[in-house]
Amino acid sequence: MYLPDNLKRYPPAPFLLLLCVSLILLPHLVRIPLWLSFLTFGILIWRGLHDLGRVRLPGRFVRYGIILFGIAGLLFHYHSLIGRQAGTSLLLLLTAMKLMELQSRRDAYVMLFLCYFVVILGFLFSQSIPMTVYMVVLLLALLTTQIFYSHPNASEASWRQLLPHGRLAGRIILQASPLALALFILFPRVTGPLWAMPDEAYSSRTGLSDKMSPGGISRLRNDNSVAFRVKFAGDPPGANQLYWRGIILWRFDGKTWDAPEDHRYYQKDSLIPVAAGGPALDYTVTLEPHEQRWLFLLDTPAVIPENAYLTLERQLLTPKPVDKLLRYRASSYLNYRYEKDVDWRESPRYLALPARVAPKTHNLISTLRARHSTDRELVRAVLRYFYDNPFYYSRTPPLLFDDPVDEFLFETRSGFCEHYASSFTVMMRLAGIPARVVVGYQGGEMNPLSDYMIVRQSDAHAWSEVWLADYGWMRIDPTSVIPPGRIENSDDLRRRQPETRIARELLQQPWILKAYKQARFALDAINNRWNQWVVGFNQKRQTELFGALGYPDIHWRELATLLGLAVTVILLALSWRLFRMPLQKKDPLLQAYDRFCKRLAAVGLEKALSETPAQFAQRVKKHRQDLSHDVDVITRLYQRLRYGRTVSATLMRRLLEQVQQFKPQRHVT
Amino acid sequence: MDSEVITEARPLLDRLTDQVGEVILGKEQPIRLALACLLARGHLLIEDLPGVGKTTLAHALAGSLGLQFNRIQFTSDLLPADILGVSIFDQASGLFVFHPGPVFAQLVLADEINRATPKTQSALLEAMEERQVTVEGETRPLPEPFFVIATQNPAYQIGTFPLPESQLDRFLMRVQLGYPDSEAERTLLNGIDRRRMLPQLTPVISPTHLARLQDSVDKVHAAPAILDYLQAILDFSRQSPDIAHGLSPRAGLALLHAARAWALMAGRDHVLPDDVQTVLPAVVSHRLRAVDEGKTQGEVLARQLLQVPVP
Amino acid sequence: MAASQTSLLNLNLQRFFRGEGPQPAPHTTHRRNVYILPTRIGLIFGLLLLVMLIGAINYANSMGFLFTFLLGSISMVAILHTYQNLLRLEIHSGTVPAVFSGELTQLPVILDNPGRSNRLALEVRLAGEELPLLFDAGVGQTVVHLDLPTMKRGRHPLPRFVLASRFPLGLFRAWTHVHLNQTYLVYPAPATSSSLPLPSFHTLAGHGDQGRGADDFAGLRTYHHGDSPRHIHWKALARQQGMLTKQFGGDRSEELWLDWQQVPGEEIEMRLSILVRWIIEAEREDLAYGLRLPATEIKPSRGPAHRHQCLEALALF
Repeated sequence: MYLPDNLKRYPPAPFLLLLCVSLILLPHLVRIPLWLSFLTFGILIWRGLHDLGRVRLPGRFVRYGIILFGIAGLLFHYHSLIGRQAGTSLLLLLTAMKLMELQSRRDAYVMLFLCYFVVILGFLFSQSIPMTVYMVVLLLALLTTQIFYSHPNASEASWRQLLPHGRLAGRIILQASPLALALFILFPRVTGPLWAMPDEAYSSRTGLSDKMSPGGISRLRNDNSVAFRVKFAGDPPGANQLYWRGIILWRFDGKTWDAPEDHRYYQKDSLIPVAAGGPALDYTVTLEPHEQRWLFLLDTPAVIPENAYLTLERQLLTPKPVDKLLRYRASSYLNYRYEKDVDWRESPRYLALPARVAPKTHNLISTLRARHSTDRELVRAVLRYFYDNPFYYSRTPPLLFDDPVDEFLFETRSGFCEHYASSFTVMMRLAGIPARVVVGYQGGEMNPLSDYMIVRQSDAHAWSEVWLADYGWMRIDPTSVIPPGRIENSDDLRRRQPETRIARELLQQPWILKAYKQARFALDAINNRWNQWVVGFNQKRQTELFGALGYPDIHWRELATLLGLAVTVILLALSWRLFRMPLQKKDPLLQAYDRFCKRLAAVGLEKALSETPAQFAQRVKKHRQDLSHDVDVITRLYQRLRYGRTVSATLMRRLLEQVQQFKPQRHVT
Repeated sequence: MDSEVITEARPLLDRLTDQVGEVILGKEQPIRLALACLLARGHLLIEDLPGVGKTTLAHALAGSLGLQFNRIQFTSDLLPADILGVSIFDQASGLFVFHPGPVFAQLVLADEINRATPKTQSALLEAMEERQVTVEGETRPLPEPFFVIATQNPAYQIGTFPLPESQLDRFLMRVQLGYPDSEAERTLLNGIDRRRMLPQLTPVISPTHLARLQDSVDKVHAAPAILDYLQAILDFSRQSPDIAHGLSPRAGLALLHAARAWALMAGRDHVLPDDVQTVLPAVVSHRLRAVDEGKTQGEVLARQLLQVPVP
Repeated sequence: MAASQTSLLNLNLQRFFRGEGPQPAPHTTHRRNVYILPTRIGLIFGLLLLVMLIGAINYANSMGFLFTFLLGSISMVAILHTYQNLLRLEIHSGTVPAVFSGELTQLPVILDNPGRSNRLALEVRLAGEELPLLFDAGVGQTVVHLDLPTMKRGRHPLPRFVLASRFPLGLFRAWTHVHLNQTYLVYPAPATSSSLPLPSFHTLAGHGDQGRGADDFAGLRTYHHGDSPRHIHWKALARQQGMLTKQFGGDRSEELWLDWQQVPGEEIEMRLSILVRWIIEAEREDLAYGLRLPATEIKPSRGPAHRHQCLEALALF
């Protein structure tokens, strides 16, 4: 039929297109404003009803009105149209609106292309395995739809084409994947963005924050999501050394600890020298994006990871917030001492306290100070104070109001790491000992199915560092002195003995829980691999990969050459496969006889096309009496099978055997 | 198909061939072809120069098969009635009595058929085709089996009416005897006159037996591959730039029939491409006409057909 | 050297745009006569891929890379699929029915697909035409009829037509120029029916007309191809006596001679048109007619074959 470019010709395609658009919208629904979800689905339903012939599409004014309304709504919601969230929302709106003016085949293609674009935008939000699988399914659906749009005369029984077209789409994806993989591995990667990305002001990431006031970390106690994963070069250190230093908070306003940005203290490449009490421990951290700039390293870093800054507090910062999976190599001394440093007693930085803070505590410190002259003894005395008095470790401590330090130390005496770290630091400062709060993670569990450690959000912890004139900065974890009997939650108790935890759990728990735990570990191992090799695949990884293959320091030009080569080879292989189009499937009988003929042709006896099998056999026998028996048998069998009356599987088998064994040698004379 | 017919066919037919071959020396292939033609219920045209033994062959066949035999010598003044027979008023009974002509025989030798006028020729040919004779409104069946061997001198001889192609099509085969080879020639010269051996021939086979063999020809298996081959041959003949008219469907059927008969003679229950190739020249050469009329012989064209790929 | 290269380039370009000139049938598609280029949609897709790639680089988004590369690879695979969709086809043409000039005739395009897979969404159109004819070619033979408008009488070479396909993704279009060295015939257009009555044709022949009259029954003869069905002796056929034709005759039978000299007017085309009209009229009245042209003479007869013979003589005049 002759056809104009009219959508009526592609019966199932509009329906498939609607399905695709709905599927594409689905993962975005949680991210976009509610009203936009309703709007887009309203548009989908409208289009669907139109395709069924129920309603007409809106006129141009209505369409533009909806778009304007949507843009206004987005501006109101995001105050901007650029940026990841706002941009995606805008694109979703436009994609849905494009449905409203779908008229021609070209429109349909543009629509499909928009869909591809929205799919790829989705990866800005999540690159997890389930998301990827979902996107591949979507791709299959989109390709199938595209095939339908390219097959205009599918008018009759077009739904029956669904399976073959779907299969074709699947085949195309499969055929394309080796090429895509080659491109992925070999395409020269560049580091850093091509242009500055708009800052994301609307992050809803979980994790530590740059402020600490009671209640902040306890929120994370129940969050089992992964903060980062660590792969140690050697044996993992003991549990009491697993202090993952993150943020150092030094300013206290009476309730909240924080750390204002202080560029004066950035040091790019030199470290405050420490005296190591042993070799450095090498490890690699894969940090989940947390939208902040700090990195987590074991106390204390020996070298600065690439692209990181070191502050005066030996805190490591990245230049930009970590908004995607970040992998860095680090090295730490577990036993160390600071070399000679500034005398921090002269500076108010780690001593300042708001006026009239914690008067009762002040009194207590004065008493203790009177009894213990050295700083070291005072520290010990304060820790003993926590141990001797009935301090409890609780996840749900009573609320603190006016003066959290005094109230905690003398009234409630129940809290968690934040309370202890905060109070302890304040007490130190009151005693004239420079002190600061460290927030990070403590502990981590080894994945028994693999060789890396998982540190979860629930491992978040806070502790203190004090500066002793004869020692330098020293790590003090006041929470650790609380005896086990005063810890309310058994989980927390177990957390305190991480080294035995896993083994005991696996031994004591019922098998179903064990299986569950194992599955979780297995899943995490897969996720880790995925993160390491797919999501985290960057220039560094690429160089490493080729380094491991024996091509260290591979240049992008070599990569490009390799890429060109790989693409050519793959395309050639594919075209060979595709163009070697199978003609009518050959009868095994003919195949067998063909093989027989080919073997004879190889020794110089070629069967002419017009020769009958018998004539050919006659000719062969004349030239090669040695083959005469075999040739006779094969020819007779072939004749019986091909021209005879009965079909005999036995004869067939005999023929196949005979042909199999028939291996004529060249004449040796 | 009853295997016994097959198994007994071969020695029987071999014996027949041998016996006829004693009379017609060195001509095994034409004899076998003639037999195949007979088995396939077709008629045979022998085209050759006078004196190579056409008539003797017919005689020998008739004798060995035990068939009732009539010979008609065609001349230019021969009338249809001379062949078919006439009704003559019988004074005694007061009725017209039909006197059957020489065509009423199981084996008819139509000698030098191209000497008669087309009218007479067609009388015979129509009888061959229909296996019955209609004289004066009355239809009379011809005996069973009915086998015509017509001989024809090559067309360039003077005073002949060559058979038109449409008539030639009615002969299943055309064979040429050709001169005997030197060895046969010598034997021939040394020995007794072969024609004197004819009366001594004893039938090898009974007419009923012959009929049974003829029936079993139809049951010889032709595999799809063979039919493909036949079709390829027909297609080739129709597409060849050298051939004026391609082979007719009737020619295709004739080829199949002849190949079946040949397979039966070889004692096989199925046709091989070799059978087709063997009978092909005899079956098609008289049905093909070259584009450059007369210059290329049918035999040459038939040889072209042998170049068709065997599937 | 340079000149030969230029001419080689010209030749190749010409092949690219117009094919190789008339070739004997069948036109077999192979790698040297099937061309492929992206469609406009394909170019837009390429642009989209570029945007995606820049985005992936900018955000250093691995899955973005992977997905972009996958889409890119898919389009490359689509090239192969589209190309393959046209390869190894045998195209020939059936006979184009002769029509009167100005009428629409149909060019039967015969497609042999020796492969095992269907060739979907094939487009065929005459060179210069806009709208393609769309069809699927299953395994074996497929015949589609292209509308072929006729303009001038005479024997014309078969026009070039283009077989193309965008299947499966519409991103690329593969095509092949099919130019078969066959011809088709166009009769002259008949003059309008009212223009002229048939000439007075009752020419008395001096002898009988060999059974071609229509009045007196003269006997039976065997059926010849082309005999009018109304003269067949159906009863005989029913009695299984074969196809016999009743013969009519008589001395006063008529012969209609359509004579160039009889046609009024000077203009050649006009005179031809009038002759064509006469033939149509004579056919309608089931008359036997002959045609006499300055160089040719066709004996009176009737039937489709005869009609064609006369019209062909006029077409080629």
